[in-house]
Amino acid sequence: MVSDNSLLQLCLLLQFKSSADAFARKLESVSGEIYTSSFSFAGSVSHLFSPSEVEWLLDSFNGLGLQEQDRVAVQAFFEAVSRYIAETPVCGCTFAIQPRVPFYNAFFASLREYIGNDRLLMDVRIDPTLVGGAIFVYQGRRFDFSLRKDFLHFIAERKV
Amino acid sequence: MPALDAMFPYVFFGIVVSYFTIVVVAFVFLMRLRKNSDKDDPGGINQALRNEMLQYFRYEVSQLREGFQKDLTQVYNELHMQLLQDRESFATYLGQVIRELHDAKQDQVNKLQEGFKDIPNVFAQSLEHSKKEMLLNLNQKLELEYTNLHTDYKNRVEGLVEGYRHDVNEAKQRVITQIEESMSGFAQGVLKEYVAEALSDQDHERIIIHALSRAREEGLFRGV
Repeated sequence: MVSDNSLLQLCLLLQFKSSADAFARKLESVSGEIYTSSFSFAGSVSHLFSPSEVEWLLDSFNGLGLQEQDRVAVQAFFEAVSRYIAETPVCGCTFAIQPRVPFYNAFFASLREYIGNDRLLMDVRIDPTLVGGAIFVYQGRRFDFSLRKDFLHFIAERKV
Repeated sequence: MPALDAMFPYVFFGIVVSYFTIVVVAFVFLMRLRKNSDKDDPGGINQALRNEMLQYFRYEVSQLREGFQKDLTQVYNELHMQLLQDRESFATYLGQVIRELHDAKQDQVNKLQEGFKDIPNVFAQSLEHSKKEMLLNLNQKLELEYTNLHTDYKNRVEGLVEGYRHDVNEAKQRVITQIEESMSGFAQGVLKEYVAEALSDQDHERIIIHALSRAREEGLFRGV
């Protein structure tokens, strides 16, 4: 229903799992208004979603040639987007600090490149105890590249 | 010799009694004879005969007296000699006894003196012997006590060791946990304070990018 390219654009737009979850909750909220008499697709999404999200929704909605009166089709669209978000792979990333937005863009680009798939979300968490570096969790595998681990390893090797 | 000394009074008494018996018999005989002569004066023994018999009896008495005196003197002399001999023998014997006693006493005195001289040594030897015995008994007692104490101590120690081993293992686990927590706390506290804050945002980002490269090199994203 929704093109893969469009959904990939959504992933690039959302980037973070937290944003995707919020996006899915908003979709669910809007879905509850589909069968109300006052439902308006543009009106419903505009006061819930961010401008960029509203833009993607309208582009995708219009690109599919859907009509807001076709409530079933609208509901199916929402369900398809929600399902896509739920099934999108997530890479857990834990940092010691909150990086800047430009860094996230570059990091996410590199991450997608390394994984070889643009359909990807980042589940970013901040843990100052890492001191530095990052912990990655992907497909059930966990890699700790934090300075905390390096320091503990350093201490263990020297039996401090 | 002592037997003769004991018999001497009896012999002397017997001689004296015999002498007086003879004198009394003679006196009685003379008195009867005188009485008879008085009776026979008219027709009895005449005075000459009487005198002659009297002389004869006097002579006999004197002979008897002399004989008795001789016997008595002889006996006396013999007894005296015997007594002298006995006295001499007794004196010799007594002297010998006295000498022996004296020698024995002197010997005893010497021995006592020697003993007194040795008293310190004897006392010291006794003390040393007692000391050795005491030490030996004490040593045996100590060895027994030591064995008992050692056995008791060994049992107690084994029990304590088992308890301590259990406690040590628990304490070891607690210490390991504490160390891990301390290390983690140290990493979270000191490192965060002195290292993390010393790193700039750009440093952190470079480290994150480096970590991402390491994750790729170590195959985190391989096979996806």
